[in-house]
Amino acid sequence: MKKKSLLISFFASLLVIIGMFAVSDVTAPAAKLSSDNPIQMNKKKKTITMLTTVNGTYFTQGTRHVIVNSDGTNGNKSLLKTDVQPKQVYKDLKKLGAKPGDNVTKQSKPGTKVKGTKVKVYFVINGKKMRAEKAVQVNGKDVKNLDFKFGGNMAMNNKMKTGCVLCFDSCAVGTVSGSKYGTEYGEHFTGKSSVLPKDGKQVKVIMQVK
Amino acid sequence: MTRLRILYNGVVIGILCSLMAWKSTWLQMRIPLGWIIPIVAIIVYLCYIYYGKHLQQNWAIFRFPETLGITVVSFLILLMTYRWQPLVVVLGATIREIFHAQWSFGITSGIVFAVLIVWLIALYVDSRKHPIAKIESGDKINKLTTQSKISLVLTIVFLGLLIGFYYWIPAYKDFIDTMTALLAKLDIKGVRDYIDSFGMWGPFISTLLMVFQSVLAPLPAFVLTFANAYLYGWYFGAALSWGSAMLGALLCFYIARGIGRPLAEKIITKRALAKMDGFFDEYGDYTIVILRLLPFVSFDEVSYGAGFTDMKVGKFLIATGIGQLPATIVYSFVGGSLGGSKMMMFIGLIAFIILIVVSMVVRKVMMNKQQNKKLNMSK
Repeated sequence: MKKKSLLISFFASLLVIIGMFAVSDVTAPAAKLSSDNPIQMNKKKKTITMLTTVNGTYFTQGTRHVIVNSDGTNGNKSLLKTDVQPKQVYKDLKKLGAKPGDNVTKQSKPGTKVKGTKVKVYFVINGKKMRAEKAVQVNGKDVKNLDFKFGGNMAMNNKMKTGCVLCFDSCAVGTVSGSKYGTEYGEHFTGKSSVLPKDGKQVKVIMQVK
Repeated sequence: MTRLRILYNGVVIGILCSLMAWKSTWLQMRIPLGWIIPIVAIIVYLCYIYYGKHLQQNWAIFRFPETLGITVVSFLILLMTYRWQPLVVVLGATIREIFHAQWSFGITSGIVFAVLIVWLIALYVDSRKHPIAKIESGDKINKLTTQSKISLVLTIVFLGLLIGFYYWIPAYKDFIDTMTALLAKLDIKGVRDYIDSFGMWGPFISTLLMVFQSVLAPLPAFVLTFANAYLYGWYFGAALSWGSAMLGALLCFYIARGIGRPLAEKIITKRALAKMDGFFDEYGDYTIVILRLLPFVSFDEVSYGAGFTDMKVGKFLIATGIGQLPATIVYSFVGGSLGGSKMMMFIGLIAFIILIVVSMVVRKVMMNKQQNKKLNMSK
C-alpha cells in the first residue's frame, strides 16, 4: 500500500513538473523588449512585438517601406528601422499559424495584390496601442485600412537583401505588406509627425495574426 | 585657394543636385543620394584640373562673386522647392545616410550650413587679399575662346536643367504651370494670394517669380510689381520689384553672354546683331536707360540684347537701375492703391498716363532721329 501510494505520488509530482515546464513555455514572462532582444512572440495572443526606431525623413518625403532592417540595402528608406531580421519575422509568423501568400513576384503585373494570412499591425506610442493606419497618410490623405497580409517572399528577401519587413503596398520582397494597394503603387506614403514620436525615438510594433 | 574655391562650388552644386534628386522618389529609393555630393565635387574639380590649364585668368568663371551667386541661387532654388523645415530634414537625411547614422536633422544640417558659411567667408577674405582679374568679355566678345566655350556649355546645362526639372520634378512643374497661368491671365489677385501663401518667405518667392518671368520673355512683369505693392505697401513693394527685376535682368544678360556672340550670330544672324550694335553705338550708355523707360519695349529682350554686345556688366546694371525706376514707381503706386485709397489710385492713374504719353513722345523723337540718319546716309 505504502509502495503504491509512493508510486502514485511520484507520478503525480512528475506530471506536475512536466505540466509546469509545458505551461512555462507560454506563460513565463519573456525577456524585456530591448535593442539586444528586439522581438518577442506571444503564442496565446498570436502576436509578435518588435522594437523599431522612427526615421523622421519620411514625415515629409514619400516612401513605400514601413519597417526595414537597418542593415538591409533599404535600411535608410523606411519610416521605421529595426534590428529584427525579416527571416525572424517570417519564422515567428509561421509559428503563429500564418500562411504566406507567395503570390507576388518581380514579374507580376503592376497592381497585383498580395495574398496570405491577414495580419493586423499596431503601433504602441507613449504606451497607447493604435492601428498603424492612424499614423500614416497616402498622398497626404488619411487611410482607413491598408489590409496587411503575410506575403512571405522569403526566397526573394534572402536574394535581394533589402531587409524589408513590412511594406505599405503589395510587395514581392516584404515579409508582410498592405494588400489595399497593388504592386508598384509607389512611394506615396508618409508618417504623421503629429502622431508618431520624433525622429530617432523608439516605437513598438505589434503584428497580430488573424 | 583657387582649388578650395573650385571645391566649394563643386560641393554647393553637388548639394543642389543631390537634394533635387530627392524629388525623384524612384532615385531616392534606390541609391543613397548623399553620394552625389562628392561625385559632383570631384567632377567639377577634375574639370578644373583638365580645363584650368587652358583657361586665361585662372578659372575666373568661379571667382568670388560667381561663387556667391551660385550659393545664393542654389539656396533659393532649394528653399522654393522644399521650404525651410523639409529642407533641413532632407539635407540632414542626405548627410546621415552616407554615414549610416541616426544624427539629428537639425544639428546635421546646422553643421553643414555652418561649414559652408565659414568656407564662404574664407573665400571672401582670400578674394580681397588676392583679387582675380575679371573676365575680359568686352574685347574678345567676337572670338570663340576656351573660356567662352565653357560658358556656353555651362549656360546650355543651366537652361537644360531648367527645362529638365519641369519634366522630372512635379512640384517645380506645378509652380511653373501655376505662375505661367496667373501671369498670362494678368491675374493680379491670384499672384498676390500665391505670394502671400508663403508667409515670411513671400518676398523670396516674389523675387524668384520676377527672375522666372525675366527668363521667359513674353510674361509681363508689371503684374508682379502690382502684387508686391499691394502686399508690402508701395514703398517696400517698389524696392522689392526693383531689386528683383535687377536680378532678373542680370540673369538674362548672363544667359546671353554665356551663349556668346559667335553662336548668337548663327542663330539671330549677323545683320540683326549689327543693327543692335548700331543702336547701342548711336545712343551709347543711355541706350539701356531709354529702352527701359519705354513700356512697349520688352524689358527682357533688352537684357538679352545687351548681353550680346560688348557692354560691361557694371554699366548695364547702372543703366537698368535708373531706367526701370520710373516705371516701377508708377506701377507700385497703382498697385498700392489697389488696397483701397482712392487718392493713391488717382495719383497712380495720372502718373501712369503721363508715363505712357512721355514714352510715346520719346519713341517718336527716336524714330525721327533714326529716319533722319537713314536719309543722311542715303544722300
